[in-house]
Amino acid sequence: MDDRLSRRAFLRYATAASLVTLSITQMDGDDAHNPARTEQKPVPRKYKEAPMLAARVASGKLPPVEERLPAFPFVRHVAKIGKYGGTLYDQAESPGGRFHFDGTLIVAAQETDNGGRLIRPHLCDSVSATPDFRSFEFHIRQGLKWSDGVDLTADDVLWWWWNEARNTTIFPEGPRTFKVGDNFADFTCLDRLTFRIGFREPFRPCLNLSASEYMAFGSYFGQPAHWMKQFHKDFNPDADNIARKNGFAAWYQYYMMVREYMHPVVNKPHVAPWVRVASTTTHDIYERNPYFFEVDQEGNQLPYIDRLFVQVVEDHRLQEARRATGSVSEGVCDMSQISIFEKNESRGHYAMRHWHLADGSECMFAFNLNHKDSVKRKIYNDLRFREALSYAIDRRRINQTLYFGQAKEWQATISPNVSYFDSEWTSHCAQYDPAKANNLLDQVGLRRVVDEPYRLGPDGNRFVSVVIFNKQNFPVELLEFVRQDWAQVGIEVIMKEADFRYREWLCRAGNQDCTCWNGDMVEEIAAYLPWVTKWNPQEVLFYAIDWWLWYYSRGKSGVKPPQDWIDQFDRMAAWYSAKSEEEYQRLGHAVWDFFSRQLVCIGTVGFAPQPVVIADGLQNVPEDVHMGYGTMWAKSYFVQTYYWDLPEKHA
Amino acid sequence: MLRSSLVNRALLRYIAKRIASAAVVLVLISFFAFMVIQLPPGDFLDSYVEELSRSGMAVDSSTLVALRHAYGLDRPMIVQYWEWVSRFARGDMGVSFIYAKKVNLIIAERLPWTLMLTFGSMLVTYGIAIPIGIYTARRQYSTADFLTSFIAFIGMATPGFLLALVLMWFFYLSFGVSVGGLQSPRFIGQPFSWAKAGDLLMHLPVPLVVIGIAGIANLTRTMRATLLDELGKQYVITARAKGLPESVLIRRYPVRVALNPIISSGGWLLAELFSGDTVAGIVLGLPTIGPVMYRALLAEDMFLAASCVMVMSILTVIGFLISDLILAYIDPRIRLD
Repeated sequence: MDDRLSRRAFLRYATAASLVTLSITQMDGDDAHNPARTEQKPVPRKYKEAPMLAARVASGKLPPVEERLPAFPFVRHVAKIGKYGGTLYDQAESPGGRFHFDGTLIVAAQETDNGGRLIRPHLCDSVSATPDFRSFEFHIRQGLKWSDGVDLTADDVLWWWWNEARNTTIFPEGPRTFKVGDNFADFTCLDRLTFRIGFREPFRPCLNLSASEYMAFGSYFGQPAHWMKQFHKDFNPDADNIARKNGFAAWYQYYMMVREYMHPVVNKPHVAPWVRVASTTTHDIYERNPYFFEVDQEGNQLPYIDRLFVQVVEDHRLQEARRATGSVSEGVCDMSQISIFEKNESRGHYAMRHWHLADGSECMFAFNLNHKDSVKRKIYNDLRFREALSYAIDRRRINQTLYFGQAKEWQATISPNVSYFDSEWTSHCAQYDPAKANNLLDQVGLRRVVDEPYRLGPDGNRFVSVVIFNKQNFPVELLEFVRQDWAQVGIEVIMKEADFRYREWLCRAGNQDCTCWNGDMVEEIAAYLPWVTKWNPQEVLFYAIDWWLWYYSRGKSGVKPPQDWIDQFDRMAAWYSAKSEEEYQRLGHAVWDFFSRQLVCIGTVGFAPQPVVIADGLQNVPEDVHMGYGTMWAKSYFVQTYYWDLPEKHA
Repeated sequence: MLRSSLVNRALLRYIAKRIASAAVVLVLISFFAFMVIQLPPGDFLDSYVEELSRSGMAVDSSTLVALRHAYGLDRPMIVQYWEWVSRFARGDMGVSFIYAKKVNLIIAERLPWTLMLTFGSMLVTYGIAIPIGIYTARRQYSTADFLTSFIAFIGMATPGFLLALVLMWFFYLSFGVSVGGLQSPRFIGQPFSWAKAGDLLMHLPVPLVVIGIAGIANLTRTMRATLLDELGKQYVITARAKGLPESVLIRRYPVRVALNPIISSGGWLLAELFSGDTVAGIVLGLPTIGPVMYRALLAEDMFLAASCVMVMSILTVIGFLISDLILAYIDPRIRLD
């Protein structure tokens, strides 16, 4: 389960393979060092399966395991061979709402691991790119089936592309993910199991997309066409009636509901380890997918655990209390409540582990560079101002007080595991130096007046900035520390909590002074997903929405950015179409060097500890995990390999 | 004969009038409820995106446009209102976006639990409060009176959610009862067994007490006060002077009168039966309708929220009609006009 194949190595092999010919290859977790093997004949093997499935096979309800698995199942190396049975308990705010294990339901063409640097074939057994990265070929594992036993083929992908993604009744604007510039990708079916995605421009991040949620089968990508057709008007004239029976007014309304894997739809064919078999307003039940295409090194079909039970618990406090009393099999613990959790370990039958969050910064601040007020705009755009505010933050105090000294006192930037990472970025302006900060602020023109605690603006008026924020995972005290630190150097800020929508509306219109958010999506795989990280001016922090509009609309709207920002946007576009590894590295470094040095996001502390509770008896749980959306949470630590030492105790 | 038919006719006219005015009120409520639910900026999708963003997910603009179109949120509010209200009138409450289910199904799933809990807590409330109220009124300023009054005031002053947390923790520590909900997770969705029934019984005391406690305290005080008023009246003295046994006297006359305020507030009862106690429902994670409605309102899941509000309004109107009729029946002094 560790990084056996670096992203770079994979790309090299994949490109080499594509140059020769398209080879139908098989890649297992253990053969990761040799992804481009030549064509093989399936070797019949004996596989083992869970007793609950064996019973169904015996009663003739299910074909034998050998027929259910693909010709070459994905071999997952597990630390300990598990026992079958039992249930994993989890909780969600609503049916179909996010829950701790939900990442495990994402199955894409390729996969990444917890480091977020590796990309290896998963659902597809070979993926290749042309040297110019304009065309990508994906070969689906031969004999791979949806959870209802129907073959998953390239037709499912093509059907999804033309009848869902490109259907203007369902998606009036078309899919953004597979669109470069004004052009949609070109999907072609090469044979029953091979499909090709072609772009007019080189589009290297397609490989990253293929290992992310954007290419999750049975959801945002290839759909079980045979099942989805019943809800699609073009294939079933009765689709409107089905929608109406389910309370919706028209077929496309209901179609949108059944398309996504998180929506509480029961028995939709899927490819994940578990499929939803019941959904009520109080709980969801997932049961093992009899056709799941992974086996362990001894040929036992995964997952080991039979069921996933997700209870609906609306209240956050109650969720916390349930975690502290052992009602969930695995769950995160609020840092501030850690003593209660620790005290209750034996009574709650769980043990605590100390994992980490994968956020480069727990909370980072972004000042609005496109501010409507000319005085503020000028100040916020002055790099010395942002540098001063970064120097003024006492990261050690935040770390010691709120994170028991376990977080990294770093500048907000990408993960050190990224191949083009530069260690200077984490230390850039991250030292606590109020004197330097004061000096810089004097230079900016924010004057200190005798007997006044705060500096005045260049126009002689009070210079106050409002930081509008939403309640996030980070402790809210962090904001107060930063406020005090900035007050120390004479900068007056007001921390103002706002409704999520209000903040978003205000910022989208470019009317905020400053806002803050956590800095996730910093792994190699995630940082390269086009235009989606929080450092992008139009995402979440909205620090330069007018510049972005100008660039995106090619000058038709928005405000023309300074040349160095136009260069940065061009650089990013060039990076996304990098043709070689060298170009990818060089431009990647340049893009993130610019973001880091510009201090558009002023970081506090990052990679914070995240205590978790693990129920006693749960095995194959990793010692340390980096948790974050960049690697899709539970997806990256392979919950399908978990098992109970005494499954009958956790039925 | 003539007199009783006159009364009946008056009664029928009264009922007809009440129903007619109730219908108008309900139409207005339906309209305002639907509008008010959508007054906050944004719509259901914004709260959906909010939930995704909280967990670090991003929704791209094309998906958002598609969803807005699919859910019909891009249409004028009045069109959406008409679609909902015309279906509601036919018994179809539309669909909930957060639960991805027909509202009828959601209510059907949760109503039995809600009714059970509310009936249960009502029995607890009346069963405890009325006897205590009578007792303390009859023994005014006794030690028992002071003690129960003291407890009642504490009961009134304790926030339900706090009591819920404390009791939940207590039951967890003392009896190992799982925190939240009415059943341990391993029994949910399983067929009936004695172990499951036992598990349910262990989970019941906390919600019953939490939901009941404020009512008990309130009702005890009301009962005590009204009964005290009655006890000092001349008809009581007369009855006593004529030698009526004390227990018969109390039960037959002043208690009946003292029940009036309790019955007249019973109009809320039907609506309460439907929704259950919302705060307790949320804090205790109960499978009742209250938390669903609360969530629907927060998420601007308008069909679900509006339908819940509508059902509660209808039940409130009916509840008051019934309580007025009962009042008229048990207290002849109350005239229909």
